[in-house]
Amino acid sequence: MYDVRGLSMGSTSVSNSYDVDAFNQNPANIVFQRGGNNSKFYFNVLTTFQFLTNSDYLSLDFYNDYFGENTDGSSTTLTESDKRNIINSASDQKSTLTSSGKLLSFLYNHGNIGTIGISLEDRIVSDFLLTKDFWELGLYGNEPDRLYNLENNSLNVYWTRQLNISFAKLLKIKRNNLFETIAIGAAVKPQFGIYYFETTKNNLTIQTNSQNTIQSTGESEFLYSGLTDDVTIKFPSGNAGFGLGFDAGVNFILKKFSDQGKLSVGLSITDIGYIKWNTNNATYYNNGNFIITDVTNQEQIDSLKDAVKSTKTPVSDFSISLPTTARLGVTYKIYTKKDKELSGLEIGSISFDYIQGITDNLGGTTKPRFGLGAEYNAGDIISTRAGLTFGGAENTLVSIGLGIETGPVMIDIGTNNIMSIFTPSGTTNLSAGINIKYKVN
Amino acid sequence: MHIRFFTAKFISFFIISILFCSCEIKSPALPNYDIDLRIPFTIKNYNIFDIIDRSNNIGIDSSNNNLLFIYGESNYRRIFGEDIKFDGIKKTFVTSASTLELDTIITINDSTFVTGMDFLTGDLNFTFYNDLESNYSFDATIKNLFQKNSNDTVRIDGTVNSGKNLTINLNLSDHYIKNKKPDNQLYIRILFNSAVPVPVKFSYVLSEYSIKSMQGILKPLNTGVSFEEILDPFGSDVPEGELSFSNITPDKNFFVVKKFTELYQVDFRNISLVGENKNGHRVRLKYLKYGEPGDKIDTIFSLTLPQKDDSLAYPINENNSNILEFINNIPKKIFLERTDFLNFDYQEGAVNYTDSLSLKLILQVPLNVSITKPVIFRDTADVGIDNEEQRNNLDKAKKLIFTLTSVNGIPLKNVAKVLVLDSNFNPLLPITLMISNNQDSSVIFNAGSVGPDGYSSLPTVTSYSAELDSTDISKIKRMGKIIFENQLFTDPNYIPDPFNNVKIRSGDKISIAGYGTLSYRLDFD
Repeated sequence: MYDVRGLSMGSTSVSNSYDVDAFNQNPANIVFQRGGNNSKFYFNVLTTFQFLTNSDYLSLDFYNDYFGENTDGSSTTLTESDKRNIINSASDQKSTLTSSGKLLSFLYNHGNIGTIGISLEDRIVSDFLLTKDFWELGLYGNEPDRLYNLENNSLNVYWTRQLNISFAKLLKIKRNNLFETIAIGAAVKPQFGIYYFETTKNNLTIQTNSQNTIQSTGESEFLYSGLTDDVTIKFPSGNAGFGLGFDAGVNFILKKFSDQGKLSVGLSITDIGYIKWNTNNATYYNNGNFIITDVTNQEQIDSLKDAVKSTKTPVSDFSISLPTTARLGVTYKIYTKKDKELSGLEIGSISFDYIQGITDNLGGTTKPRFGLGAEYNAGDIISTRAGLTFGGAENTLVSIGLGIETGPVMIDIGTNNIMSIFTPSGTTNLSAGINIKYKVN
Repeated sequence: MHIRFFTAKFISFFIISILFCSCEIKSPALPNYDIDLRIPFTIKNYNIFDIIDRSNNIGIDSSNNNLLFIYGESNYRRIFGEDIKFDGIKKTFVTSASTLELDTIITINDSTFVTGMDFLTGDLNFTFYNDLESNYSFDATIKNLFQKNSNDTVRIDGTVNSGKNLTINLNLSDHYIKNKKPDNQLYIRILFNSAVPVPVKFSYVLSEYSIKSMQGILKPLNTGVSFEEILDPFGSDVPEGELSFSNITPDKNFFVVKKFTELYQVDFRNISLVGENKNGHRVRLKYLKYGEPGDKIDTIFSLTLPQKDDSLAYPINENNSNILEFINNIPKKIFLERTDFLNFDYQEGAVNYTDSLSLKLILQVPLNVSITKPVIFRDTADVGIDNEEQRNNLDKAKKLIFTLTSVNGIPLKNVAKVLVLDSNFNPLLPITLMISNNQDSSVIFNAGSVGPDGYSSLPTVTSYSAELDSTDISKIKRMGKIIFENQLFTDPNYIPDPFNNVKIRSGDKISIAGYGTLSYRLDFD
């Protein structure tokens, strides 16, 4: 997840983020503040939230049209055209829903010691994929002489919480002509697993023949760990797993790069670590081998029921690595000619990030992502932001956002997909984030 | 500062309102839609062994494309027992004018010369007469007749009183003959104990006798006419209908004649084999008159088992017999009548009353057939929708189309009748009548396609459907049994010219399925 400002700027954050927004992006950056600010404390409480949907079909319109209740309380009745549209749109497309929020965060700048920050964050990621054969089976029933391949159907849900304890220090290295400052930072992040549900195996196929006998083969298995032992969700009052994560980062500001601006280079690696899940751990196994040649045959019906019914098998603790991500980026800040010291609020900045996930675990992706973002500060209050994102799970997106600073209150709103503003109901990459934080001088 | 703060708040909430107010998110509700669910109610797979029950009489010729064949065997075995019989000798008188010692012979058979003969039955009876005025006694020895219990030479003696007769009977079952060379006589020496030579008069009678064993030269012996009947030579599950086989399996059909000990030549004479089918229709098997190539074929024929051979197989084929006519009648019974002769070539040998002979008829016929009168088989399947949810689903159905479909891989046309009944066998739905509207309430499932080699090449799919109304649907809910009646026969339309027959393999099968296509509104409310 990105900070809301980075979200608006083409998912760039490793070299341009600051204060509490730098948590999880580059811990070195927590020593930085918005240009012109020099506050001791930053904090927020339940005021940072963002969500992302990433799908090729799952828009609000799609949901409302087919899976939403009508004004009279009735359900939608699908026409033949609706069915075809659902199948054509939703088949074999992975959809990811991600939401995160900061329950609280706090940051203290101590001039000599450095900057220390604490943040408590929740993150929920779920993804699912339904194959074309699944949709056709569900919408048209069992057609004769068909092979329904369901092996790519999957559902994964991860809910984790972490306590981020970050420390950063700004180093001023004398007698060098290269760096004006070097910020280094690290974070220790105790991890608390809340729920883990993953499709670990699925090779189910259903075959019908001209006589409409139904033969299913294969098996499916799900791995679960969570606060409840019956795969139900309750508000988290404890944890189902515990682990440890680490972030490390550095940010270099180059000396005398330009009279009108500063160039900073950021490098970070985040979420090195694991969560060991240890509560209500179980696999849910479905033996999908059954044959129905005669629906009046109770033995066959029983075998079908057995196939639908999962076999729960307790399993020992298991560890899942965190979605480790490496980031490398540069930011060039442009200042007014009056600002000879280049210490005030910049006119604007341009950032570029290269983001490389190391694992697919817990909603991560190993597809590389490139971000290009810009910010324009129209006066001290309003900052407008925009960016482009290439690659990653979402491919190309245009992002946009707004920052408002009103004394002690700093507000960021943004989206990584501009279509979320213009056609929010129609976009399949709906995203939005809001961040309200407070500073105390 | 306060102004800036509230300005910022206003702008923020204005933008957020624009963003989210344009996003209407409805309450979740699963959609309704019409769906066709195809529910298999029953499926029956019949292979050829379900039609012709598998038994030892049905085989698979793995060297010939798994072609099925019917195997039949009729074994007619006999043990001689008392059948090796000889005529006896009528009362024969021996007289001598005056003597004290007499040597005489009894010829037991004109043409049989034995080195040994063990009797099973028979009596040798002597009667001595005394017409004198005084008594006399005698002491006789039969040199080559011995007692079984002591192996002593048979001796008879006695005193014949004046004016009286003395009869002495030898039960031959207690005696045996032993000769150094084949001989047909008993040698008798009689000594008379009298002061003076006496005129002698005695007689002997040899009854019809049978033997336990003998060695030597047996006269050609007719052991009598045998009449035997074999039931179900092709097993008890011979299919009904009229089958026309195109050929018999080459080199698999024989008469096998056999003897179970070293024995004289055996001649099976005047063999008559009659096959009778289930309907009582009889066909006589014709074969080479004397079992030799070149003989004319006849309903009465003879087979010979030479002395040197233990068994001999006489091949049967379509050229030396009317085997196809015989087998196409598919006999339920085969009657055999014959006369066995021993030692027709009059050679030295041996025979024992426990010796046996057999005449076996072995037939193997591939299922390369034309069936003009259907082979009928029936089957009853237990069905029933016990699950209440399933029954309720039937109630939801807007309509139900019942389809009966056949995938026929057997090269035979199937005229089928299917009847749905409740569990008490009360008829509910005459399915085939409903879907075909034929007067005889049957449907035709076409034969599997037949290739030029006569085998089924591709299964043929045939389907019939009928839409059931709510009344019929409620009957489906009550169904408990389904009765299938299948009539199979060859369909010339599915056999490439110029053939008339089809070949049936072990893997050929027909599948008949009944399923319903339920159209209903899937409603999650």
